[in-house]
Amino acid sequence: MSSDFSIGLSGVLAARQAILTVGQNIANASTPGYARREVQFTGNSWDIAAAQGGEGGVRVDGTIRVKDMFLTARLHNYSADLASRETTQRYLSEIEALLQEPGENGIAAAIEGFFNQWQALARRPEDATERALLLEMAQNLCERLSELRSSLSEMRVGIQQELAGAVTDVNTRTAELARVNQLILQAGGGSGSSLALQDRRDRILAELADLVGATNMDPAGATARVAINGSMLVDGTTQLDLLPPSNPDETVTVSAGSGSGPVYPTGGKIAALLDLSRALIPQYISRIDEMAAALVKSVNILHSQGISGEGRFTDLTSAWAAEDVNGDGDPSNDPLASAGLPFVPQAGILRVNVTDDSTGLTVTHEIEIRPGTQTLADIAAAFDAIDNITASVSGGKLRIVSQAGYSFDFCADQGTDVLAALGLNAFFQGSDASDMALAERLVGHPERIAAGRSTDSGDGSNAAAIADLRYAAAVGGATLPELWRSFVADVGVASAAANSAVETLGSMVNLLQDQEQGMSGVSLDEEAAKLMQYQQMYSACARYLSTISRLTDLLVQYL
Amino acid sequence: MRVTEEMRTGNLLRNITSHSERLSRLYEKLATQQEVTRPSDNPVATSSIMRLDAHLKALGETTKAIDAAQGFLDAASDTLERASDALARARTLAVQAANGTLSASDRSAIAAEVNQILESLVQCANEMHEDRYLFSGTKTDTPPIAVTRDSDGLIQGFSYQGSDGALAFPLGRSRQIEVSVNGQAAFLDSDVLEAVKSFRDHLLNDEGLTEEETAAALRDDLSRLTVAQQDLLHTAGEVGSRVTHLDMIGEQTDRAITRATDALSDFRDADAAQIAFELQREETILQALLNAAGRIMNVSLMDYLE
Repeated sequence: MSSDFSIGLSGVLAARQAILTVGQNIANASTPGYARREVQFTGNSWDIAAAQGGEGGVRVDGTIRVKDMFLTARLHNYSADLASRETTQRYLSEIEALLQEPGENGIAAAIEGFFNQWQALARRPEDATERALLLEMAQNLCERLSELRSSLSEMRVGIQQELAGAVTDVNTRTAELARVNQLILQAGGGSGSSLALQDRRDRILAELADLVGATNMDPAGATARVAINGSMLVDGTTQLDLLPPSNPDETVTVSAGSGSGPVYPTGGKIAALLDLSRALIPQYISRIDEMAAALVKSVNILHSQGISGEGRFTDLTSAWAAEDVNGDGDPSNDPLASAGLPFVPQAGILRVNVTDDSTGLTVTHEIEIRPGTQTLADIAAAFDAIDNITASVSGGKLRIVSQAGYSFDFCADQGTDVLAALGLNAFFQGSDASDMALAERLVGHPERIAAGRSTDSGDGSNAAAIADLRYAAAVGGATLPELWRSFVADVGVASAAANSAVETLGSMVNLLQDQEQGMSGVSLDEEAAKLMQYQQMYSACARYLSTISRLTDLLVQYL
Repeated sequence: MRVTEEMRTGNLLRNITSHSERLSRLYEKLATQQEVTRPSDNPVATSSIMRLDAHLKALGETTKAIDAAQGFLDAASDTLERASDALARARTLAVQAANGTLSASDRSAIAAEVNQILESLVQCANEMHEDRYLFSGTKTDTPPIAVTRDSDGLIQGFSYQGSDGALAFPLGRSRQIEVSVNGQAAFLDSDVLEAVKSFRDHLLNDEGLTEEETAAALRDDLSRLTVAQQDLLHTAGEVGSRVTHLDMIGEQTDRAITRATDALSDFRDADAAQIAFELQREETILQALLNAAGRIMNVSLMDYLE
């Protein structure tokens, strides 16, 4: 008899609880990470035939989160990839903007302008304006290359800072995840009382995937176990800190515990930042350096063999000093091949012309260059042995001085590039894009540009030869302008690849997000329908109760 | 599949964003009139644009070199023509003198004119173009012909001070065009100056030759002048052929510039009609999307609950 009331009551109570759940869902329709809740009803056992048939009615088993953790894990994989590609894309488009190509202000135009000016100078070597313009063009080219290189270096520093920030974000989240794990365990694992905590857990997991590509190793469990590329960060309530790299060439490390040491994230923002800082940007920098070094070397080799507008040399000092590599305090006794010169000179014959200014008679002397064994002092001694010139070494620099009434030059065919290696009559100084500059001797002295190979005022043959360097193979069979073009094209290809990867991964992530939303998201229409359903259930149960009540009244009346 | 509010708004936003993005990209193209504004737009085209750009700049430099060479050669050609005219006058006078009917005073009058011709020929040889000596080779700052004069100021001897090396303008890619004419060959080896000087000296007859010897010497001078004039004409002709060659190179360069400009435009310049069409289409789509958004967002079962 009592079961009449209890059935009705259980229905009313269950409907109310279901309506509460609907309210909770509607309230959280826009909450990120919220998975919709569903009330689970079970019918109580009841047998009409048995006198003690149980209480009957409906029982609320609990509220569940509608969530597919395996789908979520898959989504996190893709979104980690997407976050990584997006970061790469962001930096690559910044690099692209630095290049200013294709355009009038790019380095390609600076290279072309530089060589064109050599060609203009070859036409009018006596023209001071053309000479001054050439120095300007050369300085502009040096500046453009070093600006680009330092911008890339600065970008690497910026990436280090962004990495440090991202690592802090990771640590904040892993610490919170460990706490959430503990609270979930305290609340009895995956039971209904920890549903909000599970929402929180899933949100942190999504953030960790985007940050560092961390994955949940235990998608089916109540607590999350998070690892980066196999290295555990959070296991139950244990959490290990991630440390930012100590320098731009290093990767991140896990602080302590088992599996400590360097880790190599495969996804997320941090993986992209590490890749940019450790591989891509250094590679770009080295390509710019390689190009700058080839430019410096090839121009210097030709320039060192020319004669400046001032005439033949009477006093010439090498621009770069040999270094004391063997550490005995004397830079002049290291073999040329290992004396810290910008490049190792070739073995061969160096030819020196010594001219008697009064008769105009020129004698060509030969010095054999063996960079493996010869030291700077040996070279100086060989110069010194030549009639009418003297040579000395001071501070690692070679100085050649002719006797009064004599002068010297290096216009004879050279079988070695030792002049450029020592920086005798060089046009550029430096050995890569960072320190490349106009040779100090030439700054403010356009007349010292060696446009010709004779003292004739109209001889622009050397300038013409340097102008043609743009057509000569510089590195790996490519000319200097080709090196730059292929660099720009490679940056373009990398950037375009990142763009299309972002697009592809983006639509993949969208698809999975839709699937997840389809399962776990709140549909207001659905909730509205349920609201009506539970409302009707409530009224029906209430009506049932009042019917039972009237029946009981009737019985009492007739008694 | 369940469709939730999040999905609806999310998808809508995504679509609107992607179309707005495309629209702004089209606006950029329209504003710059360029198909490629950054390397990632089209890496291959970027590379081609840069190559063609460099090619065009180098061709521009070649054009400048051709113009400069043209100026130099034109000046040389003019000067040689003037020298040739002067020489022709000297030869006319030599024909008169060789007739042998001239008095001593007639001869000295002619001698004075011939001396003028000699001076003007030396002037021609030392002619400059844009502050550079035309016939000195690479020694552009040194007058090619130095003269020695006697006490009366009459020219007695000539020497070449210029360079044997020819002045050449680079045209790029190791090609060059010689613009100078060697003064030694044009004025000394050709006997131009010496023949005129010998003619003048025989007219003045400082050596005290007999009338017959003088007549013979003058006849000899006439034939020397004839040969010298031919030589000078030959030199002028050689300069002329260089100018023709230069014209040809100039035409080739102009054609190359046209071709490269066309190719560059193909790679770089945006097709205005195509952009206008695409712009129209994207705008229509975006409008339709926004329209649909307004409708979809308004439909909800909640509206029908009592």
